[in-house]
Amino acid sequence: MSEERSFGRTEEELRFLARVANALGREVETSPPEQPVRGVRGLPTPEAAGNSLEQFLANWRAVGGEADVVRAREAAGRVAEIAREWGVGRVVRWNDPLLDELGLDPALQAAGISVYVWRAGANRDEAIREVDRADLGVTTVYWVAAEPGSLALLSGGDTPRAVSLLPPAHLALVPASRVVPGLTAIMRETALRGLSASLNFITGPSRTADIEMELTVGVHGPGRVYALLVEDR
Amino acid sequence: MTVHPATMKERAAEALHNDFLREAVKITTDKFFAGKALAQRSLGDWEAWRERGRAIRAHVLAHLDYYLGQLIDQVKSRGGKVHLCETAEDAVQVIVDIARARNARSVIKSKSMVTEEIQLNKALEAIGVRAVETDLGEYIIQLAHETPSHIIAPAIHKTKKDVAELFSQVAGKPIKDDTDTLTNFARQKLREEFLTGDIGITGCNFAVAETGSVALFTNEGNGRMVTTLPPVHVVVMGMERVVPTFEDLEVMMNLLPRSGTGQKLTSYVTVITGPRREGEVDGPEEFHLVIVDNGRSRILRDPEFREALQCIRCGACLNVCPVYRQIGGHAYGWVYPGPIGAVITPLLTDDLDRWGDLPYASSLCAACAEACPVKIPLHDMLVRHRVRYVAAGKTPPAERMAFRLYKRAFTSPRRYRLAFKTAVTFQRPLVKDRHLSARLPGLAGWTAGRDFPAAAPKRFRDLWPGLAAEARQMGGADHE
Repeated sequence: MSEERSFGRTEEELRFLARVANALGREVETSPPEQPVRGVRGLPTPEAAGNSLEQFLANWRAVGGEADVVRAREAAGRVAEIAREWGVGRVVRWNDPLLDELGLDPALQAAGISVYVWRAGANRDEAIREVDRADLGVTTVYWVAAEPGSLALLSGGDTPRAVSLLPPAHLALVPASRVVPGLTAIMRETALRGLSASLNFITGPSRTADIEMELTVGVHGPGRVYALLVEDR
Repeated sequence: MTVHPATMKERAAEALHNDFLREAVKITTDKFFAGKALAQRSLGDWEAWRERGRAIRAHVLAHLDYYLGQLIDQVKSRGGKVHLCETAEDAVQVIVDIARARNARSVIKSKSMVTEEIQLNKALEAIGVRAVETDLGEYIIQLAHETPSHIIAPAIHKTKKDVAELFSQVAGKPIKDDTDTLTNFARQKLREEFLTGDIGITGCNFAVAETGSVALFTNEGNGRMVTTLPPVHVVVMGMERVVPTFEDLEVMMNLLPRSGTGQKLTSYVTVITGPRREGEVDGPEEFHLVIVDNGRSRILRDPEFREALQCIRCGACLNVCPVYRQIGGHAYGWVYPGPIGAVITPLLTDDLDRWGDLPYASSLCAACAEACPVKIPLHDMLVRHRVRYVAAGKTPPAERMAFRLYKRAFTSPRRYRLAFKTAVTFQRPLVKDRHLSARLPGLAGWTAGRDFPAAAPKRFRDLWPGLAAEARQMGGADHE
């Protein structure tokens, strides 16, 4: 084992790895093995045919998601409309500048809906309490994959995991430029830009069929999910 | 805990008398199977994808020491702690120690087969820590003090009425037996647990060596809750559950849900990389990765069975297995049911006396191997197991005697003819409709469950001269 690699490994780790190598009938390998195949390279990946945006809408709706496409100046008004329709009284949202630019808070407040903005370094107990009693969580996305119809969310101080999870409904504002054909682009991008502590792919509402195979949505996570695609400003 | 009988045959007999179970297993497996066919088609060349899945998993196993080393380094470099456990006891001790260090009162769990394997819940209860299963199916069977009956759908053997009774006991008042009411009750009950749990424990569908990430495939969102709310996240993984790179994970994202439930993707795929970062308020402040051997290096060492470690725990082999479809998961007696369970249980436990009869729970039809998204030759392995079982002298004396006689008779024409004549004479009082229906001593194992054809009164070779003449006549008639 080379000096560089063994540095930082404990005796216990070295022993465990030696046992594994022994089961394979050799010493511990120290240089990266040549991968005969890698990822989906060379495979017929299910990339979206034609317009990715249309493809995303179709696939997202097929798994029980709701969706619409709006212009930037209509976005905030549309969110307020959906919230009213769903009987939402409280919203918790990510602290993404895009949501400020779209004028989300004033539109919701005008409709009599309260808004809590979860910011980096927020008081944990307060933030969790707010998100637990919210009726709707609003986020943006990092990407959406047309096939298989998934939102990709990265966690961060201003983009907490709980907002798309604890409320019974989740609405994501999706700049149309962030629609990519398939998962491949997302996997490469995330690996390149350095990983957040949590990368979540969301494909439809929370679901279960654990009781007599009957499909029920909203068991722990949101039962309603809405992707609102925002066309260029 | 429900106690199941000791032998495969007894457990199977018990299951065969449960009509609801048999119907439920059939409906579930049919649904998953139909979904799989559909989801497979949407991917295009399924065989190319299977081959890719196999190649990636086989490559990892051939270099498991390297990739585990890389995984360990990556997790540590991102502020996580790694625990390497040779045995189930080691793994349990590590987790008990973490719980003690945090003064934990409750642990919330997302579905994990390996924690069943190491019997973690029992050990936690023993030190006064409540272990709460949060997957709806697991929650139900935990309340019933039972074990999972399917890898993906653990409570398929329970009726709505069963579930309503269990929930009513928890609530202290009657809960209606419709699915929405039941699901809603579980949502509220478990929400409290999520918000107050001290430690979250999950399994691991895949660990990515290159980044030190852990990927979880879930539908209900409980896996996300368990990794978002408690201050500590403990991942328990079988040591073979590794893929080299993030790119390779994409292949598994395409294979696992399609093969398991027939979904293109589960509702959530959560990729966790270490504890929460600077500025983050939710997510765990402590991240532990517990890597468990517990018999896996024994399988790795064994060239006849190494490929069994390629398994991605999708359950596709259960859904197509004619034996599983009749008897369900409990008849397999331990944690892993179906064909994959029959293969790995004797290996992981290293106990032929207790589990050596599992590989006989198969018709060797090979549907399992054909369904497997990573091409494990399951039926070949079931035969290899039987060979070892026989070689170890574990088969009953009467069966050994029967096969010795069979060998003697069938390796000499003289003895074969003699044996046959004797059989025709002695079987007479036992034959009914050309079958041996009576329970012959020594043959009862076969004849009790199926009809055994009687030896024909006249041998084919004795009939042949007459038949040949007949054939010649018919052939001749054509030419005249």
